[in-house]
Amino acid sequence: MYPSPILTLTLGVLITGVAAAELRNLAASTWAYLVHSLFLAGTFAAFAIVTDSPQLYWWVLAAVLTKVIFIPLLLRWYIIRHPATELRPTLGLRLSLVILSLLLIVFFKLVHTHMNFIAPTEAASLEPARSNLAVAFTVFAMGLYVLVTRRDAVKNVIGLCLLENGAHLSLVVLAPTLPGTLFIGLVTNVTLFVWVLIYVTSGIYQLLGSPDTFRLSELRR
Amino acid sequence: MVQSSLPVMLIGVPLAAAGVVFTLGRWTRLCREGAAVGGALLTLYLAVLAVGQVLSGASLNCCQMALNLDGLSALLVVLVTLVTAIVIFYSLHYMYHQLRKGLTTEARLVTYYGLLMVFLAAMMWVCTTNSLIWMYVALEATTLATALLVCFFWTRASLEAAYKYDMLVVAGVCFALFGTVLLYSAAAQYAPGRPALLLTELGQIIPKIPPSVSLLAVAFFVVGFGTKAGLVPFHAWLPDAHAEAPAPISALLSGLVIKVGAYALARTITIFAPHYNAVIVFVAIMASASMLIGIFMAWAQDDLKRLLAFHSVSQIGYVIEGLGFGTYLGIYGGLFHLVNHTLFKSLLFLSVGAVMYATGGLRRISQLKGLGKRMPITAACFFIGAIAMGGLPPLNGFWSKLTLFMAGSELHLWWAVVIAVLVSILTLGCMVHAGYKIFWGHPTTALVTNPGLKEVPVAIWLSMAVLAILCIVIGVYPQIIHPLLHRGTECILAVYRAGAIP
Repeated sequence: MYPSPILTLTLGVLITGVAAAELRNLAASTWAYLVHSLFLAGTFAAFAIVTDSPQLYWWVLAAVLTKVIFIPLLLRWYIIRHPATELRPTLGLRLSLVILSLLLIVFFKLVHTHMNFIAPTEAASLEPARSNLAVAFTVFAMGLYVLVTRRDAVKNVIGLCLLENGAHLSLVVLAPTLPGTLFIGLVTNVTLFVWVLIYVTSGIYQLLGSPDTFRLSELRR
Repeated sequence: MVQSSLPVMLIGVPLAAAGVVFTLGRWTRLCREGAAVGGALLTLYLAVLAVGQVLSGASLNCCQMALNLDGLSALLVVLVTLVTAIVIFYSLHYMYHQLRKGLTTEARLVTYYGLLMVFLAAMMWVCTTNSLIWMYVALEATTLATALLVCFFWTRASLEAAYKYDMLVVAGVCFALFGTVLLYSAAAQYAPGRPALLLTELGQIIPKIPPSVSLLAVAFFVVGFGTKAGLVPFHAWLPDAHAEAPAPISALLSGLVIKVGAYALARTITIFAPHYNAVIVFVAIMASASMLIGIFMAWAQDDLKRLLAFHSVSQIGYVIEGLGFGTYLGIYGGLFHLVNHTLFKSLLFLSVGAVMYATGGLRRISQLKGLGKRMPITAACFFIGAIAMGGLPPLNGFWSKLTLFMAGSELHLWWAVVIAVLVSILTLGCMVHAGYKIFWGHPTTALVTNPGLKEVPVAIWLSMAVLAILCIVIGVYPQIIHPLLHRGTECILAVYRAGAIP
């Protein structure tokens, strides 16, 4: 029998990640990202309790401070100064949802089935770690999908955050003994990158009148 | 192994200098430029001290092996501090000129010098850390420090470049985190109780890890660190960032930042390569593609800085190819070319910066002609850099390329050697062609009537001259750098052979 809280939290990470990727209203997408990060921090906390690893509480604290508070605040800072609706992406909502769902299902199944190929350790082969790791790779793939298909610069920032969250989620299964300071270093870097990207995107909006990444080459003319 | 505080001081000194610049830099130039120059020179002094100890056979470590300065680290540390110090000297007059032209402000110069110091500290951190995961964190810190420097002038094109630089490098390098984590997970059972995967222990652990994980990790490292190094096809950020950054920053990006990616690959794939022949061929294919695409794109450029940027894509292929060979000669040649490329590419970017300084910002080859008579020192420096990059004797690029050709021949990878030789000839042709068009003949009317068209001030050309002299000295007397290259190569091989530090 699976310890259901961890799997529930992991499922929450996945569903809210899809919402953050697909919601066209940037404010709503930011809220979805915030909840997604809360689920992520909750997953860390659940692992801390289940595996009795006190250093994971530092991860929880770092994740809450950076992913739940700072990054959404930075996104919010941008959204209240600029149009809150995402630029029309290359794919329509329905088609995008279908493609993303297929991608996620295939990716999850692939990673879950071939876990021994990726991480041939006992810890990774047992549930709930196995599913958690499969979700981590799936969230990573979701981040890549957003980066490839979205033209709105801020949505791309959210995609980048999803990408990083996927990598960070994998840490809790594959490298739970990492010191808290290292995890703090990892998430601090991401927060600073988001700050730089939001700052630069604001500048692009001022000069181009749009956060359209497909039109960035116009800045060179 | 010797316990030493030098690795900590190498990180701490530039960080302290950054603190002084950010807190006191607004009030006086002494606290701004002075602190930056002082910080860079003191770090260079510490680097020289460290090199001295490493060459005498010691490996400096501290913080329970968290920081470790071996032969390879020492090579990078002295190179990074030297080039950063030269770039800061160049910047003193160059950026002051931009200030007088109204292109920047005193407050923004504080950011400029402060970030340069943070960059130096981050680079020192990358070079001295002994933990694979901390190396990833430090590598990201170097991107962070340079991200805002790319768009320092806040022009339209520089904002595009900064956005692409940040987005693509962060997304790409994230793959390296996955590679690191996979390796960490697989290695944890063989190194229980270790807080983080140590670079010096990789050699002992890699043979025990299942091939599937090893090859997957290598693929992730090549994508991740290859993005940072500007390897094709992960190079999309590089031409824009290198072209749109201020000239001194372009010199740092091309001279040092992409080398961090190469250094990370040297610390990782080089250890895997001898265990898996497929890795050698895979890396050689990637590197050859980088060489070819880089040089073809370079030929198509009219913008001088973009031309040099694409040459960086091409030249980093030589470095990666050598490191991927995994043999003594290959690693030696790769490291040698890493050093040489840093010197001549920094020289070339600073020379183009000097041309832009004198012509009021012109950087298109079609707009420039006959500058040699008015700017003889800049012309000489440009040609020294160009010929060094083309691989002609008696300049430094010749020896490193020759070593790489020999390394490829040793492994019977003839196709890779042919591509490398062909690209070298094309590089020489491209650079001499560009230099001829810019510096030969009579200046155009627009240039003749430009009263500012004269040789750049000594404060600018002196930095270029130092780099040019280094290119010549290493070319004429390559033995001068041999002990450090030998130690660096031996460090990598020792980790592979026994997991021991020489």
